[in-house]
Amino acid sequence: MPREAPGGSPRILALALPDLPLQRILRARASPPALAVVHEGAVAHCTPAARAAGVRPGDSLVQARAACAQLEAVPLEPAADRAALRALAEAMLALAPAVEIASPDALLLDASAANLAYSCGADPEAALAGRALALAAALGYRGRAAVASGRGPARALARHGGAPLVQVPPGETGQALAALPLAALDLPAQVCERLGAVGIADVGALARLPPGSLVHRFGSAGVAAARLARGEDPSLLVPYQPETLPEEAWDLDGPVETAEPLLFGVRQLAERVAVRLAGRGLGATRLRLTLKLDPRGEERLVLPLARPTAAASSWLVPLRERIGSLRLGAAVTGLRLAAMEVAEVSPEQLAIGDRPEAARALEAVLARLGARLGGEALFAAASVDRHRPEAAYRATPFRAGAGRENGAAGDAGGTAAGPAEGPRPTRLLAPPRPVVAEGEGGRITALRLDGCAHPVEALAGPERLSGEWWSEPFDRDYYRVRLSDLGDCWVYRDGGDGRLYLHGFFD
Amino acid sequence: MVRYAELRCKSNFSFLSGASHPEELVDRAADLGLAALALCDRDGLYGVVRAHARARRRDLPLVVGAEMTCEDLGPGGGGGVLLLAADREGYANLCRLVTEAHRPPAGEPAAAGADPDLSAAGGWRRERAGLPFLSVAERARGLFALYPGTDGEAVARLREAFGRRLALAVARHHVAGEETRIAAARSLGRRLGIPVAVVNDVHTHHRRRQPLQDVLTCVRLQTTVAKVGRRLFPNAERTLKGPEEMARLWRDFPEGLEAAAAIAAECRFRLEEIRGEHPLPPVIADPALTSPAAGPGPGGEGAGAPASAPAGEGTGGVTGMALLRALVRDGAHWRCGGPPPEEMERQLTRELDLVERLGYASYFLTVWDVVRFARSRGILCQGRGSAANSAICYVLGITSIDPVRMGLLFERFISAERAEPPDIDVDFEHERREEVLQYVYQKYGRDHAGMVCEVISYRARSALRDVGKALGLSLAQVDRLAKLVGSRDDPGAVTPALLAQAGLDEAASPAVRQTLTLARALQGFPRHLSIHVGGFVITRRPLCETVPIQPAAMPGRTVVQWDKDDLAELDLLKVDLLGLGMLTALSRCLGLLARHRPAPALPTATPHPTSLAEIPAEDPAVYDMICRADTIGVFQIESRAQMSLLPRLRPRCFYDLVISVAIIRPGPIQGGMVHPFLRRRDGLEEVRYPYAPLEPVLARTLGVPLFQEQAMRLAVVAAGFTPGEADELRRVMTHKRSHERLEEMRGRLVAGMAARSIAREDAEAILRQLHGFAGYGFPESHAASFALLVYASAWLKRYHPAAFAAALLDSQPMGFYAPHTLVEDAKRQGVEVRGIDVSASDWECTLEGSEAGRAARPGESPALRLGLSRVRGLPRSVAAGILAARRLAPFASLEDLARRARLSRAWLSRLAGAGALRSLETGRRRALWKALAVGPGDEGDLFAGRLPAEPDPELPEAGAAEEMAADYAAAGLSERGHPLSLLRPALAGRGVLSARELQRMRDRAAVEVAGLVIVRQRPETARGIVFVSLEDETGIANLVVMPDVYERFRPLVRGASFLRARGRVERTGKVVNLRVRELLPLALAPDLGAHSRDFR
Repeated sequence: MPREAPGGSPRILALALPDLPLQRILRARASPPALAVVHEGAVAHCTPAARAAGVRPGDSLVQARAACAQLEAVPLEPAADRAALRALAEAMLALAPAVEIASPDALLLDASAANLAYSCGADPEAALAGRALALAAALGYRGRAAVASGRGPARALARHGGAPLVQVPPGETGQALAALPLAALDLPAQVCERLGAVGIADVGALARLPPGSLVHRFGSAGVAAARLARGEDPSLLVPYQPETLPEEAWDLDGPVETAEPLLFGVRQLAERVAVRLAGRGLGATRLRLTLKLDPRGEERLVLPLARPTAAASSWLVPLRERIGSLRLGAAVTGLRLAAMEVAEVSPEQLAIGDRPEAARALEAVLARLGARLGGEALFAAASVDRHRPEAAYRATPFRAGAGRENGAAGDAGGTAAGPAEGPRPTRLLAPPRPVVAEGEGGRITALRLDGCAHPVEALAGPERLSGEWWSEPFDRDYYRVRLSDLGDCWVYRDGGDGRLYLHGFFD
Repeated sequence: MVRYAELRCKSNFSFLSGASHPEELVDRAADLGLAALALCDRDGLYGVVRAHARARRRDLPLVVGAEMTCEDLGPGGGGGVLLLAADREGYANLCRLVTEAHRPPAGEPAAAGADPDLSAAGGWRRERAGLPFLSVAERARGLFALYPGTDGEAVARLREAFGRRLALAVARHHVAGEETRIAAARSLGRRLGIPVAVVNDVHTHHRRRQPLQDVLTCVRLQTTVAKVGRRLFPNAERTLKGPEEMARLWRDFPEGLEAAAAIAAECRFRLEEIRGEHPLPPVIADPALTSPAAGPGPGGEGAGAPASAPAGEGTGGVTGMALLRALVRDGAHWRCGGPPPEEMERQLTRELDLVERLGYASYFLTVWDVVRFARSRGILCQGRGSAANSAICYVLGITSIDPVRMGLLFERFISAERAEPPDIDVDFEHERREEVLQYVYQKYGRDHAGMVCEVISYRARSALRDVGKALGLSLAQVDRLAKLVGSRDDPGAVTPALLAQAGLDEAASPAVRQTLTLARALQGFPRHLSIHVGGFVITRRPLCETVPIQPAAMPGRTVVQWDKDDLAELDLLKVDLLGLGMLTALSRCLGLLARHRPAPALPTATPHPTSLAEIPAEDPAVYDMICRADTIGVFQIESRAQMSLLPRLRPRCFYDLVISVAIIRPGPIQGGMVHPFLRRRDGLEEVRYPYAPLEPVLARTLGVPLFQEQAMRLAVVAAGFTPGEADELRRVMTHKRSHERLEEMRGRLVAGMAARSIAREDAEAILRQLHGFAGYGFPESHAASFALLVYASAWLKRYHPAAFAAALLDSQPMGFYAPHTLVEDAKRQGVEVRGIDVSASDWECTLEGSEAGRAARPGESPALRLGLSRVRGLPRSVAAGILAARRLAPFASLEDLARRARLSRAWLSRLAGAGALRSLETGRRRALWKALAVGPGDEGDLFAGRLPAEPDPELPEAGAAEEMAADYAAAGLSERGHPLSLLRPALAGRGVLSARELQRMRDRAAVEVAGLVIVRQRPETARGIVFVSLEDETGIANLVVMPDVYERFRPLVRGASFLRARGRVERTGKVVNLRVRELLPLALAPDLGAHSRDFR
């Protein structure tokens, strides 16, 4: 935690990244074109080329395009900008004990201990600031730094101070802030707007207002504004803590060559990781077990799970399976288990007739199959809400316990709303195979498939299916035909070429 | 020969369910040789009149029906049933049932104003309007029910209600499971002895409409074709099929086809039966109505207008006609100030006889009654349109133009030959029209009176948006695509080059081309219902037995399911009760003058009229002002186009105003009549007539037809049309639905003129002129009615500019210009405009003398004090509190105001921000600073209205630009000056001219001007030219932006609030324009948020 400076406000290094959204976009571009970052129809940031053409932040996109016809407009992406700040913050953690993300475009570093870490130079705070600026530059960002007492003042000076590096000795913060515009203080919008309306344009003017007058008008926000204007900000940094997925390691007492002690270690790890996941309401869908080999090297196993779960017991089945089938060239000295991929787990309500033990058994079988054959070898057929028969099903990953979703064809929301679908064959041929009708007296007597005639015993239909004119139109009349030797078949006459095709079998 | 009638058919008036127009269905049914067609849209009869009109021409029996939902019929409720009208009684019951289905459930507000979905009055976003079965059963007489289900219990209940007028309906579309349903229905029919009829549940008139049908389904379900899945029909079989095809399809059940034809034959009701069913309710049922009307309103027209029936005739037993004759007699005395002259007497007798013969007495009386009501409430009103051709309307006080003196044609209004109902339109003050509408509802009841609906149809843009979204284009793409076309453009005509400009590639994405093709087909489809501007249908028989009525989106309003063309098709009477902003402004202005009238004993330099009738006529100074085009705010002649015409037209008398109102209309402009008329008037072109007998018709307008009546007479005289045919020509010309009919008449015109040996080029000129009127033209009577208001408003502007400006400001929104332009204009008229001030302002604008808050002394020009209503967001109740407190004593200080008017800090700050505390505190900033510290507004609070004791802070003075920007932000205008005056030194330094300087420049001089954009227009008649008006502190500069320049500076023309323009001066007489070569943004201008009048 930042140490309190003698003046009451902690020493803070603020690193502002002007036009961060623009900088982030331009990092990936070679030559900066006339480009503007646009938010709600107005220009938020623009490149020098765009400025040279007359585009100004605040212009509506229409105005900006009027000034510069070639202007490329990119929408503001606050999430991407926050991610960029987080990445920078992680890097800055190498320089300072605590880093705060001051959205939307600044980082605050604890500079209280700069004299300890950078004592070799004449000015440790300046050295810290220099390192921070250099690190940002190495990551592709141009920044401005300010070292001052207090979070608010440091941030204001970095953003609005004008110089690449501003350093304010303790006790002089008020004077340093006086020339800054009111907006530098990040006051609540209403306070800032009203102060602007009465002509208070800079921090100095705010500081000169009669003591107490702001309290009458803005309550506690007024008190804070008055203190900030005088350069007082005793608030503490809110340190950034990177979010990571749990990972646990286990060092074995000595090199191990049998499965039994390994499994013991794995069970310990699984329980620890599982507890950490469960606390966050998450379940693992993919685990990674790393085995440290003697004397060096390692073996990594990746395990897909049948469904997201934070129950260590259900991880152990596939883990045991995989460990049992391992052929290692060396003894194992240590284990590390990480949750590679997680998903939220919601508690499940069992229905009457559900047999949880059966579900668990199925899960175990599936996990085992998955572990042996690979995750992709298992799939289920799910119905798709389409009229085109060959597109009305698709393969989905098989998830035990997902029986209700996988369930019978047609439950996936389609048929309930649309017209009823007729009986569908259990097998479809891909592609459908052409057949030729043979008949006499206007009656079809046989269908010839690959040169071989199959007598027709019965015929029903048609069911007419057409549509998808927007992509690949189809128009078919389907008949259910009983062939004496092939059983019930699904045959259609194509409206396009007028020919007959065998499309599937009702087994 | 197989006979088949289609009994289940939906048009696009089932709103996003059917994919064909009613006319298309009728045409196709006739082509296929169907025995009859029943149009059964969901919950409505919206499309039946169109279908009926086409069926009459194609000689196809059209059965009227609707598909209704019974909440409690069939398994699980919500069973649908088709109801077909067998006779007039059945039709009345059908209308009542549809009306009932749309009625909001008890306990809910009468109109679902808060529910935006109901604004789609067709209900396409709404669930089906369901009815309890009991209601249907009660109204089963005269209806034939067709039940498409197979539920035995439902069938039994239906049979109990409908008896032998019940059949089961079966359909075969080659989909799974239908054979089981067909078999079940047939077996049920056999068991219960109920006929089973074959239907095809038609949604399209042709299979090729299936893609559009699918798209509509996606729009309805708010999804895309990729996601909609099996909610689309599985094939295209729900289309109209001919008897042979149906016979093949139903080879196993020919009786079903026969049953369908037999049912159609049994449903004998045709819409023709309600044609002209227009007897209005007797007006004078209530003897109280015949008592003398309330005193004169501000319009003064009511001052002697006939208000009472003759003694002994007003009560009981008096027929409409007798009453009308009596009222006309009284009215003629009133209008003529004694016995009417012989000519007037003759005209009235002729009109009364015709009215009696045609049975329109109650119609005149109804309108007279509405006008009488308005006058009794002091609501200014005036008839417009062709009603002004009628002397009866004039003497009843409905219109203000004497048709006898003006020589207007009564036949334009009613003729025995045409046998079609007259059309009386009356304008009311727009802010008080609702009182009149509610009076009509209240007097006749909601079952007898309803407003006419307006069908809002898909236009190019909306069609592109919906189709594009349904086909899965991204919102950004749909937006770009929609922006490529104007609202009335043809989406099919978008070229690949244009698409590429919008970043769309037709070759790469078939969806783009499909979108354009389908959007083209969707154009013109009904989208939802809205309310017609003022049309009312009133009937003696309950209206809901003639046409279904449903709540409109606006609270308190109900609309019928037909639009004005539908009503005209069936000759049903409607009265147009319209709102007119200028009447509101005139009423306000006269009210202000009445309040500020000097003592009657004192002579005044300028007259002080308190009614329209008191305004002195034909004042040369007023015409001088009009000739200078100093007409901002004046009714009808304030637009940019009018203002550039006036110096050339130089109106010097009332009839010149009539011409100037009529001439700037799409009709005369498109017909190329404007310039020939001006040249002839200036003596630059000889007045000649293409055909000598046309001279009496066209003499008044120098041989150029400017009015609708002249176009009609032209057809009569030059092409041998009868007056009735000529009127049909007029209707066809203005009727958007009948372009084919126009072509037919065109042929007859050519033949007629050839027979009269009219030279070919003259004949072509006449045709062009007539075709021009297809755009839109005014009847002379209408132009004359409007010209009265033109003169009245011009007179008030000339002699009482302060009162006039005040009235215009308080009647917003209306007219052509934004408030800041009106204020700038008032200042140029020499009016002192004073800012909003809590110590002096009322809610509305007021007039003051030299002393703030006091009336002007005789001889003193009053100043205009802006009202508190101009403070954006200030509720009237807060202002009322301030005014009430001020009446007790003037405010001594800001604290005093806060305490006595109980103003919260928020309202006080808003007033301070608008500069309204100027009399209590020096400087807006200091006022705001203090306002922010005032204690809460609650009476009980210890600190209510108190200011803390504190030293005064040093607040810097605000600059002029900031003051002005604050004025605009808080009130939309500034009394301080024009924003351009702040920039003038800098602009002058760069050689930029002011608007006044521009007026003095020689022709073709290269100049630069700058200003605030107040008008941007791209009239359809101007072939892509854009007109922009720039306002500065000296006046208005008119820019002409040619299409190529517009394309180069499109975003600036469309978006910028302030502009600099470079170009050359174009001078035609006194009219000066700047033909623009280059446009630049005016970057220094403060952001005022000013409004301009823009094209869309």
